[in-house]
Amino acid sequence: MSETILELKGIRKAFDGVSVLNGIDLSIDSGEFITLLGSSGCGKTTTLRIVAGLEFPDEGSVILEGQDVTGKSPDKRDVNTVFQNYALFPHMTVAENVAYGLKLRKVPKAEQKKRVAEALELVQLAGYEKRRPAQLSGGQKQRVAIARALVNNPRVLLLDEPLGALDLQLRRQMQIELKRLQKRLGITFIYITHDQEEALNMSDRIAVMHGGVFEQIGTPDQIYDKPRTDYVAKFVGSANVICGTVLRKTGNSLAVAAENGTVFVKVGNEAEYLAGQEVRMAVRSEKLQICEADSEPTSKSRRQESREQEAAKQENEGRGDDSLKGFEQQCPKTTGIPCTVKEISFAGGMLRMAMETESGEELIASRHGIRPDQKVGDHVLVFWDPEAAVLVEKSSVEGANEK
Amino acid sequence: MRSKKRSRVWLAALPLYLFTILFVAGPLIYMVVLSFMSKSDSWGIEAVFTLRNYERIGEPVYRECFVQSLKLAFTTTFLTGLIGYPFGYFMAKLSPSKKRLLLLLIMIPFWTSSLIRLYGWMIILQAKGVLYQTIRFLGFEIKPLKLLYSYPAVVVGMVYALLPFMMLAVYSSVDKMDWNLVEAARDLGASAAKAFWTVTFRLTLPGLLSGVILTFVPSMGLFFIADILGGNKIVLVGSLIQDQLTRGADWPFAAALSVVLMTITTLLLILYRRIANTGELEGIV
Repeated sequence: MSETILELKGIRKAFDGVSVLNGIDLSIDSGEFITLLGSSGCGKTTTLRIVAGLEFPDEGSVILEGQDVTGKSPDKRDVNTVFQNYALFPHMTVAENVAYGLKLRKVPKAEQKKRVAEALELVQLAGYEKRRPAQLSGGQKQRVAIARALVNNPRVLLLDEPLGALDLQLRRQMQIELKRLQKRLGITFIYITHDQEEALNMSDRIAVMHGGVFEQIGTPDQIYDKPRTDYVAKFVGSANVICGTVLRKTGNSLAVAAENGTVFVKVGNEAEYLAGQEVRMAVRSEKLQICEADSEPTSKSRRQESREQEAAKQENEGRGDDSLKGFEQQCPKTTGIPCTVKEISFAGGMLRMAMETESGEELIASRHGIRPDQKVGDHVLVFWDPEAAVLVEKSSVEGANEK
Repeated sequence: MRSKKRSRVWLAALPLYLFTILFVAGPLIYMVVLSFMSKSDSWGIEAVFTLRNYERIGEPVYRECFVQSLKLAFTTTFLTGLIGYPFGYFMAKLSPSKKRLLLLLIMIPFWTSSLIRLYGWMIILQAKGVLYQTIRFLGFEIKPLKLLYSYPAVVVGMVYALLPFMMLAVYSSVDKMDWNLVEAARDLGASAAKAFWTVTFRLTLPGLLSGVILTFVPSMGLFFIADILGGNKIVLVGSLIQDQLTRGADWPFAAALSVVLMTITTLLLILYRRIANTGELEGIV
């Protein structure tokens, strides 16, 4: 199962002098479900088209089952694509659409018929053979497109945002069906989406793309829990990214001065940090904890001082104790990041609170429930469990933090 | 209320009905009626029913005329399609600014009367005309051309006159092509040629078909091209009708010829649409 089926080596591509892919390396195992995740314009579709042979790279090579197919036209590659807009042939029936690839391969008529029937059965469209694409709903068209590609038993199936045009409910249902299908057939799937939830739900591995490079490649768990860069943290986990400078390291807890507060991050025992070193922390919105600030902000120097003391005290008391988890965790009166509540909104059963630090950075906190404990304009302190924060690198792509 | 509304709609459509009756149906009926009347001995028509006009069309001389007209129409349409399809196809694939330029270039000749453009062809095709001079200039020793007043000259003139319609009809349908479909075909294993044949050509066929109709119908009647470029050697039904109307002064016979021409054209179109299985015609421009 774990032999490599497809390899991309140093792929570069530019259109009219604008570079879209800046050196892509990727190795995909047989039977794997890998997702290229990124916002529009990140180069994921171009990558897919290069694998399909619909686009040729300026540099680098595409290796399919050990064979270099870089310059080969799409009909000479054992991969098939499910196009974003389905691209069903309007002048053919469903059965003719699905049989198209088989007919070109001169598969005998009887076998064609059998395999088309099987493929349509697989996508639950048996009985739709005689229909025309114009007579199908969006979800049905999508299934036909999948059947048309799968019927050829490709080594790799490429899916370009296949569920993008479907409504949410149908999309969820199709996600489950697609994943089930892929497991059953054992075909390698390269899946493109800009929806991080979809990626996390379906993939064995996710490659987060940004500005024509991979920011991080890893399992959904790794991507979600251990984002490598600030971009991944923001894009996948909708995390807050906070910059700060290291104060000191005590055991596996790193104290960081950030946004006029002191916060803590759990790090590895071995890792070395120097005081004054710049670090970036990513904390997901649901992990931010909030308590009322005592009073109006006092002068900075005094506050900083008292905070330092408080922080030291807390460390001595053994922070990170499990009993302190949850919302009832005591408020670290003097540490924490002072913020002002700017906006409170509700979405999907979640309470979302936007806050502004004293330097003008925005922090987003969210939790279940509908009744806010704060109101707009309140002064609050933001803190978190050291285990909830992850240190991330700065994305190498310019403008990565604009999102 | 409702009947009032309906009467108003009827009123609005009235000019249209009047126009159609007066200028389309009226003359047609008049022509059909006329074709069953007899020519008077000197000048004019006698209201005496006769089938003589239709019997005359069966005479070899006139039959030959119909055969030649059909042959020319088919040749012209075929050549126009052969040249027009690739042209329309590649034009649709150009960048928007180049498309606009080419469209303009196709339109410009229409600013001049087609008759004048035909005389242009005479100058080109003459024995020692532009074509002859050009070939000589390129260094080939040839005898003066015998092109003008020949069948090929007529075909050239017809193709020239009707090509724009074919090009634009094909262009408009290729321009609407979803090229994703070609990519899908290639992805499924089709070679470039196979993808063109099974997808692009099939989907742009309506454009080609309307081009064929826009070419075939007029080419049955464009008599002045044959007159000017073919001398008097090629007599088409169109010229025959014109002759009978003017010099022959045999209006009933001219009417009979027209009725037969129209019937043949209509029948061919019906047959053609049946084969092509498409009622939808791509409009031009």
